[in-house]
Order: sequence, then structure tokens, then C-alpha cells
Amino acid sequence: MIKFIFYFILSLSLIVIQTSVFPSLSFFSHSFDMLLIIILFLSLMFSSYALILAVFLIGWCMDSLSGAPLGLYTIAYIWIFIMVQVLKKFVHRGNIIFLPFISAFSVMMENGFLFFSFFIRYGREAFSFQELLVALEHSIWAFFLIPTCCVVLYGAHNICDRLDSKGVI
Amino acid sequence: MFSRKTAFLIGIVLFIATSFTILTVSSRGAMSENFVERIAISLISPFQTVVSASFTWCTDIWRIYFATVSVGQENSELKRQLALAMAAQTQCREIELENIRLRRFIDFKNDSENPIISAKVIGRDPSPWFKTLMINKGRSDGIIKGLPVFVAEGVVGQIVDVAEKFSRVLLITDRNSAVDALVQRSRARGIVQGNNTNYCLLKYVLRKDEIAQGDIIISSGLDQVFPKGLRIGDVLEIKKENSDLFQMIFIRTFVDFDKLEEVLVSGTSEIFSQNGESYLIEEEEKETSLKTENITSKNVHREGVVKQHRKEEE
Repeated sequence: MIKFIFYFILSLSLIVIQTSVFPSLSFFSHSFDMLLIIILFLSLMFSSYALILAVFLIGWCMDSLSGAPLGLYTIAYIWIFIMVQVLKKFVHRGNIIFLPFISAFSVMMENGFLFFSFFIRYGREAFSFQELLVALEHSIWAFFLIPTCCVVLYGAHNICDRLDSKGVI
Repeated sequence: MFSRKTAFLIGIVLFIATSFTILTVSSRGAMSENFVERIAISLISPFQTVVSASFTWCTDIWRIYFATVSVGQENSELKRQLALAMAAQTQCREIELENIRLRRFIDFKNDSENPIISAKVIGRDPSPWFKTLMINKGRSDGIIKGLPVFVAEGVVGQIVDVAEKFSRVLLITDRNSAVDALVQRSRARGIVQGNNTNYCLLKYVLRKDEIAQGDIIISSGLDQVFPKGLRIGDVLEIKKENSDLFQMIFIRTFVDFDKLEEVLVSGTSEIFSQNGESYLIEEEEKETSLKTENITSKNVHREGVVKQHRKEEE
């Protein structure tokens, strides 16, 4: 129960911070999608495909709050979730190389879907060097930041586990 | 019937096909807002309001702290500027009254009579690729899709999604936005389009039209969304490719979209009286009663002065 509350509050906080606080801070105005941290962490920690529902809900909230084409975030998150589930069968989730690369690749994947939607709407004119540069910048940030955040989240996850086993709630 | 592997492969292919079909359809704008989306906005926007208000409060404290450092010097400068502004305001008021009289004289319907609602910005687009804002006014306040949004500096955008108490605004800097515009000096027409930066493009202006750097761009009112004469920006750069029929003009918007905290939404009186709470009318009534009180108190004061003079004369 504590774990559920923890992940619920964490998702909500990340959504609200990303839409209300980060855009006002010049340093974060071009940061990558922070919700990917929780999507990747959930995908790494849990193997149940029932978790797709949670991923779907987070994606749907982001789609509702963003001006992006409807379903873009939802589809991107579900793809990332499935990709990690499949890759987990071949690579150990604690692998020191696996996590940074999968983080950067997830951001690339999301931006790939975004560029696809631009292409559908505007054709070749949609792509500019500047935008590709921003996408690359996102991936580099994700390569370093997402694994760090996942380590912090893992600590919090363990604390929730202990509280759950003690039956606090 | 199928082996586990075949079923898995079919599932993957179906999933890929569905994903790209949904993305293709929604990218072309064929999927409009729906009930579930409105629920998501209504559930998350209250949290955005609280966080946004707390964040503004903190930044305000920070700003006030630094502002006090040079407050004395700034105060005298501001007082001087205020005196100038008040003189200019009086002049403007006179011109406005004259304008109203002239408009009535030629029986011209004044567009600026449209009621205006003010709203607070509570959130911005989570993605750097799109430029939208969330505001704390929605259907219950009389907001509907397509209404223009602006501030004193100029055009902000238009309403694209409406929930019960919140709405989403598409900024003119978003690449999906288009505003029919005029160059104020030469009256050349074009379309202002966003390109996801704080600069916009003025497209479809004929090569023969004379445009100079610094020219002011205003809304033409022909798109039936933005009223005529709202300021958009000024010309920054002009590009004339040899083979093109049109010239490409880069404009700098007057509105600083990163620092927007409050915006105004304009509508027709029918919309606000049908859909919204009648607080606009109430506000007008309050303002009128305040003015009446003010006039009455002034009259009482004048009467008192006149009586005193008479007494002194007697």
C-alpha cells in the first residue's frame, strides 16, 4: 500500500513540477521528459504486464496536459515499458552499462515518435538542425541523470518495502 | 491454434500498426479533445494551481528582497515616470472619449466593447516542442474553444481545449498556430506562424510589399479570431529568396512568453452571459456604482465648499 501511495505521489509531483515549475527556470526549460525516470524505474523493478495500466494513465495525463498529438506520450511510454521488459530477459537490470544506454535510448525513442508526428504533419520541413541538436542534448542529459535518479528511487523503494513488511499502513 | 511465439509476434505487429495509426491520425489533428482528456486536466490542474501559486510566491519574495537594495533611487525615478504616465493617460482618455463620440457619430460598432476575462497561468507545456499554457478559467467562466487570448503587450494565442475550470491556450509561437496579420505602416498582409522559439515568421507577404526592420505587425482581424489592431511584434529580419513569390519575415513578439503570469481572454457578451457566471456584469455594476459614489462625494464636497464661500461672503 505504501509503495502504491509513494509511486502515485511521485508521478503526480513529477507531472506538476514539469508543467508548473521547470518551464519558469531557464536551466530546466529544455530538460528531457522527467516522467521517463519513473517509467523506466517501474519497468526495471516490476515485471507484471498489469503495470501497463499505470504507464497508460501517466501517458494519458501527459497527453492531456501537453499540446502534443493525442496518444504520443501514451504510446511512447508503453513502447519503452515493453522494450525494457524484453531487454530484461537478456541483460541484468543492474548492469552498469545497461541503465545509462536504455535511458538515452528511451529519450531518443520518445523524440523519434515526436519527429514522426512532425513529419506526418509538415513533411520534410519539420526537421531543423536546431531541433535535432535539442534531441541529442536530451539524450546526453538522460544518459547521466536517469540512472542517478533511479539509484535514489531504488533507495526510496527499499524503505517503502521495509515499511510495507512492518505493516505501517 | 497459434504457437506462443507466433501469437507474440502477431501481437507485436498489431501493436506497432495501432501505434503508428493513432499517431498518424492525431498528428493530422483529426482527433479532437474528449471527455477523458478533460477529466485528466480537471484532476491535475488544481495541483498545478497550488504549485504554481507557491512557486510565484517564492520567486516574488526573492525578487522583492533584491528590489529593496536600490529602492530609494528607483522610487524617485518611478515617481517621475508615474507623473509622465498620468499626463499621458489623461491625454489618452481624452482621445478615447473623442474616439467613442466619433464612432457613435458614424454608427460604427466598436469591437473593443467585447467583455474580457482575466486568467492566471497555472502551467506550461511539459514538452519543449510544443508551446501551450494552462489557465485557471474554463467552461464555467464562459470560456469556449477558439477565443483569443492576449495581454497588454499583444497577442498571446487562442483557446484550444476547455475543461470545467481550466483551459489550454495555444501560443502564437507554436508551429501549429497561425494569425492573419498586417504590417502597420505599409498595410501589407501575411500570416504569422510560430516556429517553437520566441520568434515568429510572417509568411505570404508579397515581394513587392515594402517592409523595413522595426515595422510593427498587428492582427488584421480577418481570421475571425483575433480582433483587428492587436500588437503581435516587430520586424527583426527580412529574407528575399530570388525564386520566391513571397518574402520571409522574422518577427520578435512583444509578449515575453516565458514570463507570462496573467492573460486576458476576449469573447462576445452573448458567450459570457450564456455560459459564464455573470460576474463580469457584476464587476461593471460595481465599477459604475463606485464611479457614482465618487461623483456624489465630489458633488457633496463641492456643495460644502460653495456653502462655505457663501457664508464667508455674507
